[in-house]
Amino acid sequence: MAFLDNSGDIILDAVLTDAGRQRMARGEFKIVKYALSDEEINYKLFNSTHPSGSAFSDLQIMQTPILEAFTNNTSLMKTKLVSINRNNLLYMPIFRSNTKRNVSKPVENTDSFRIFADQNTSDHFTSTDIEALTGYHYGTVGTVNNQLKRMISVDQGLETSGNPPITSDMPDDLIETAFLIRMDHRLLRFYASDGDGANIGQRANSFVDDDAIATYYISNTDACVTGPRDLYRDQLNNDLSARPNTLTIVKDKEMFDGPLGPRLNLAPKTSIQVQQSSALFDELGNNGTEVITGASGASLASGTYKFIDTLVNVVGVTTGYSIDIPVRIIKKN
Amino acid sequence: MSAGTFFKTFNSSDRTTTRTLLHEAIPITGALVSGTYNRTSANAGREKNIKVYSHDMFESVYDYPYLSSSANHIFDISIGMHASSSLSSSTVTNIAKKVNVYNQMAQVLNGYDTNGNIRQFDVDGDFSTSVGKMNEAIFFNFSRLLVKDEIKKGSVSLKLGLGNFTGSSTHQVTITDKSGSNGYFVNSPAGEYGILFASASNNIMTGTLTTDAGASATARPVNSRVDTTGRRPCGLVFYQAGVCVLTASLFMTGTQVSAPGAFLKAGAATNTPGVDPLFQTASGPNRMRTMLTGSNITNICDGIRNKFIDLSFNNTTELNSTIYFCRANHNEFNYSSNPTYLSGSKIRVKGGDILTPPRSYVTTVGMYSADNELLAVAKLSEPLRKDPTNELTLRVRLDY
Repeated sequence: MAFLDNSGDIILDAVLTDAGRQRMARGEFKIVKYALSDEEINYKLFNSTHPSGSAFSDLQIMQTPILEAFTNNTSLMKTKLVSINRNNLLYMPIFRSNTKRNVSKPVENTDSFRIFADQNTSDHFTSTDIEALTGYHYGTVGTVNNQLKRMISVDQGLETSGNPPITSDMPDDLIETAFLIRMDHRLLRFYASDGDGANIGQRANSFVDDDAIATYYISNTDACVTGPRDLYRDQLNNDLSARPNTLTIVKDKEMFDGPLGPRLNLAPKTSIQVQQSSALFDELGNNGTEVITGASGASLASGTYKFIDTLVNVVGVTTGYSIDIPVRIIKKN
Repeated sequence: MSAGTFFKTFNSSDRTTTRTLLHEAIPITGALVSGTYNRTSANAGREKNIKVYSHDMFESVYDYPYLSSSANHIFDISIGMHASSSLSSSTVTNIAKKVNVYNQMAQVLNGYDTNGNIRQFDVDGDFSTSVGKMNEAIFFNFSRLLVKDEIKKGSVSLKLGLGNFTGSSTHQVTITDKSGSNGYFVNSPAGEYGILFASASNNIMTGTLTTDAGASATARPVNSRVDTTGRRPCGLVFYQAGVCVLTASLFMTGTQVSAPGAFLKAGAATNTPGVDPLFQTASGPNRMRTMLTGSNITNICDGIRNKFIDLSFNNTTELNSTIYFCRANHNEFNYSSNPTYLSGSKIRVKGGDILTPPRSYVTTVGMYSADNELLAVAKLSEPLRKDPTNELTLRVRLDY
């Protein structure tokens, strides 16, 4: 897309997205709400100590050229502007994939997770193997005990360098109230704990768009959302005097050094199409070259499996913060 | 304290609808219609941008050699003859096709009388009288690419040569729908239409006030009536259908001519008394009357193309718009979820001072369905600063 002409009056270049056109064709086109975004803006260019004065602090930002609108609905509105009804905020919460808890660690030395496409692939390893393979997930719904040992956790919190400390409460107006989760519907389904510690369940999507991206709306009352005070935080607040090392335990398991928000726990599973056919791997994937070796010695050698790399996107409905989690789906030949 | 959010719901006062008519000027030069592209034997001696068909019902003009995927269809030309024409007989070449084309166009553009008979083209738009019927008609059917929703009334101007073969500066007729904007008719099943008026240079057209003696202009039969500027009705333009219908007698002299009568004074155009102007066709030079009886439709269309000097009209696109007013109040959209907005979790634009008002920069407006699917998006040409001291109203117009 070209840049918009910014030499004269301010203009608005408006287009329907491909999803909008598709809905129009289905007779379901109805706009009911809007959001504002600051895509293309790099706030690192903001210079609050500009030598010419505060009027010049955003000079470079205001000169940012703006691209024409894309029509792909998933390519836009990645960074939204947020309405918070007070001006005295110095910190805003962010998301981090929790890489500290054993259950939610990604593959070593990466930020990505691996999912076995089908039972044939996961059965190549023993359950002990898989337990030892950090960041590897079952792609099919098997024994619950195994399922609950692996999660992708997205934590909300404040990085404050300890001021305010992790023991402080997150302000109520910054706590996430709901999450939008997007994943490729051809490849993945959204499963998560049902909260009883014994089952995981599939969540229903809100819609699947023209690019086969499914969107799930998960409120913080769902069993897969914990907090804002989970087990460690409860221990922290209740038993700090009794267990003085609790704070250390907490810091070892939490991604933030400031106040904590809720945690979203996902256990994505593969679609039937991915489980039963390798067609998508031929079309979207690659041959695996990295050797995957379990503790028992079982391994998937180079050229014996295929993989597809995809993303799971999580957006906070309250703060608009967005995080992409890389996921690799592995299928044995 | 209410939780933050990035969605804001439209209320009824944030939305309105409008209708706008958008016009584009469409100029078509004669060089495009004949002469620009090489004639090829593979195309029966015609230019590469002229497509002819084995069915011989019409021919098509493209803006580029039609075998190219870059070519756009501009318009079609065809000829029709009513069964009651004085030229009509069983010996006329392809008479059935000429009658069929006439009837087909008349069915669509004129409709039927109360007895179910197809109404003839009428040069004055008055179907109730027998005056002014066009028995031999030339059809210019413009493609939707050019016409869009309709031809703008009063904007049609067509120049045709009246001399031998091609057009010349001294012998040409200018055809306009001069009364189109306030004198059009609504009694066609194909929408509104106006009368096309011909005015010719060098006093070569019959029926002009300046040369015709006798009855006043208004007392003459309507088919030969001229106005004070010497214009004479010669056809119809159907604005929504995008079709111009001209009487073939525009190229004829003498008195033995079907309605609405010959337009040319004897010899005025050709400088040969009593002789109609010659047309250049693939089968050689010919005159309109001879062509109507002795040539097939495609050859006649070739001759007419070669008389084409230029054409212009304005098209009309009807834009139905919904305007959304996206309002950002003083206490809204002042923070951002942009990863660069924060250093750690600290807001950069505050410069470390909690009392500094927040600010953000708007570049994009996203419009969503109830289930949060992005349906439309609008980009600003430059960032707009948003902070608690200002309010913005962004007007987003979606055209359908």
